[in-house]
Amino acid sequence: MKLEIKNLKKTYKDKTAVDGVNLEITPGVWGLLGANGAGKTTLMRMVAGILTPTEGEILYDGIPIKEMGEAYRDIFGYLPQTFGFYPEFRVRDYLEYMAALKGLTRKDTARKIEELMEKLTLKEVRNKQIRKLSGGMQRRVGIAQALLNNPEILILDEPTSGLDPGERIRFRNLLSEFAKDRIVVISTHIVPDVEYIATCNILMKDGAIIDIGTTEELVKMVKGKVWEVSLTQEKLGPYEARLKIINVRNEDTGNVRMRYLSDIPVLPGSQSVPPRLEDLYLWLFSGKEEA
Amino acid sequence: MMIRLIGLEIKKVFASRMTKILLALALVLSIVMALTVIHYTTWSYTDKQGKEVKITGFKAIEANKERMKPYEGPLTEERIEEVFRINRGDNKEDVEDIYEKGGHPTKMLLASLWQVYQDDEGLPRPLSKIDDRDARNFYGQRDAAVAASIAAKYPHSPEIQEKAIAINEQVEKPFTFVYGYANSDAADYVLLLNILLVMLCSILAAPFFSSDYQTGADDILRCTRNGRTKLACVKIFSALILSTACFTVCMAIFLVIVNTVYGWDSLDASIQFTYSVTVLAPLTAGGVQKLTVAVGFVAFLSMISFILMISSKTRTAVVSMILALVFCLLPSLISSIGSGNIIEWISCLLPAGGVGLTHSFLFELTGTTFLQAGDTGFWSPYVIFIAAAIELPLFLILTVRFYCKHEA
Repeated sequence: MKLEIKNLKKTYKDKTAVDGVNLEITPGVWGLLGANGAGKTTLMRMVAGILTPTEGEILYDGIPIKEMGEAYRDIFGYLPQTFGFYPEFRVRDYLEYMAALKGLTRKDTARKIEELMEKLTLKEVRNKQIRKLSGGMQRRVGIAQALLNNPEILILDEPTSGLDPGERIRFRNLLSEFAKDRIVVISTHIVPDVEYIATCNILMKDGAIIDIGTTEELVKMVKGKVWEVSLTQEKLGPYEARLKIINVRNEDTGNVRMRYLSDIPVLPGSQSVPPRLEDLYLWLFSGKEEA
Repeated sequence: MMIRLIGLEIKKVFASRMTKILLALALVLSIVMALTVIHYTTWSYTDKQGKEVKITGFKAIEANKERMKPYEGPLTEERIEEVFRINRGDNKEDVEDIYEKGGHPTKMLLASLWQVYQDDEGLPRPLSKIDDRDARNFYGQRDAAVAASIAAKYPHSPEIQEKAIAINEQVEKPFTFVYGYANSDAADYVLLLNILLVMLCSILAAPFFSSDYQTGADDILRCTRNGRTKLACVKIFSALILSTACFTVCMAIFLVIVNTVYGWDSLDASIQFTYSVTVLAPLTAGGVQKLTVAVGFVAFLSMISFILMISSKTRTAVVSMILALVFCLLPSLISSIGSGNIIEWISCLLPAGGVGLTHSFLFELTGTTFLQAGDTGFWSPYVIFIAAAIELPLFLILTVRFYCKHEA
């Protein structure tokens, strides 16, 4: 099972959204990381077959997806960034509609819907209109529809937006379990969503892939560049504009503990700490120049 | 699978509040319009105290049926002569007086029959100047009037004149007079109901594709196994099934009410008693009703398929709804701002050409408009029907194509 993206390019009148992307995606969870406008959604839409590439091609097990047509869509699940639903449709009716579109039999539909409602804790809202659900619930309905046909390729664009921390953890676990022998690509800028479950991460910037690797491999890029320092609240102010600050948290002593990115320690007393994927994300995609 | 998908698609459309409102509105309108036709039927007479009495609605219809009963049946030239004679009474000069005063049961007949008697300048002759011999030659006079009006309208096209005369020759004579449907405004209301149903169902069909583009729902749908062509067909069938059901139920309600109240037998009356005795269409009132509804239905479906095509091309539901309403009104707008052969062609060829406020199949069927193409001419009702019948599948094929090619 292999999804190959060869020299993929998408240009609009005045902009190149995706610029010569080459990828070979194998089973596992793949995190697609990049800032807004990096070209993640355009790339995903091309993989989904919604957008026609200007150049290049996408192959599944060596066959162009364009040629596969219905057969490709049969093994494909997709949750776009904006989950367009039918507000007055009830949850169960919507899932039945999607199951029919995905070609599930009536029997399989009933079984699969029950299973997904259980897993995504949607049972209590099965007869509710989708518009009456919270944002997180609506997102879960979106995830459920993507999983209905047990897809071999699952593409999720910002799947956890609107989910509370508990729901995000449950979702991560569900995906980890689901991703065995399947290709799951998650596009996000919520880094912790993929940090712990991604077998591989793809970093995108300005329409191009800038790096690919496991979390451990990628974070090496910022090894020795992540620092933590304790300082008073008053001293923090001048650095806020100058440094790539990852986070600031209050300490019991009344001081604040600042985690920041820099080639060299900028503040006295700074300690080098092990890098995380979020640090790399900020290093690559934050526009702020260091002092 | 297709049937299951269509069922679910209809369920989805029905879940929308707007669908329920539009369908309920169509249902209410069909009942209200039938009752309006009945309500505006009147009969005025002067009672024994010399007081003007006006009755309306069901009572007026019953009264009219009663007093027109003796004049119903085939209107032979002998009977026409009798009608003129009755009105004339003993004194020939009284004819106009009786006509002007009204109230006499034959006034309704006289008003129709009188139209064919014209002087040398084409103006209607005074009733007092129509003698027994003229009355006996009613059908000859009528054919001459038809030929004269066509010759005046198309003086340089003998082929059109021949075609018009050939159509006119098929008109069954003597005319049959039965009081009822043909003497009411019902035929106009059938048209009006048709137009309103086109507008309501156009609003219903307008968001079928564009709304999914707008909300992003389409991104998910077209990634599914049955997305693309099958989904486009499912959406089209669902829109057509819903529209057809709406049209059938509403039109049936209207016609059952109107035909029952005016009498189903009144549909046997010659259409020439509804609009003008010079109408070319060789049809009874019932024939015109059937044809108006049938062609109206084809034009209605053609318009729905056109709206679906617009919907598959536009990115938002609001834009497709606005365009739907514009195209519903376009033939009427065009025909009211201008005239001439080109305008007529455009008005007839537009998808809503058969169901416009001022340009419709009914008006063309009861008119004498021929669309000219070089030396030849085509009677406009034929053009409307053929255009709608061709456009219906054409727009549907284009809808599928546009939907499959759509990229946000």
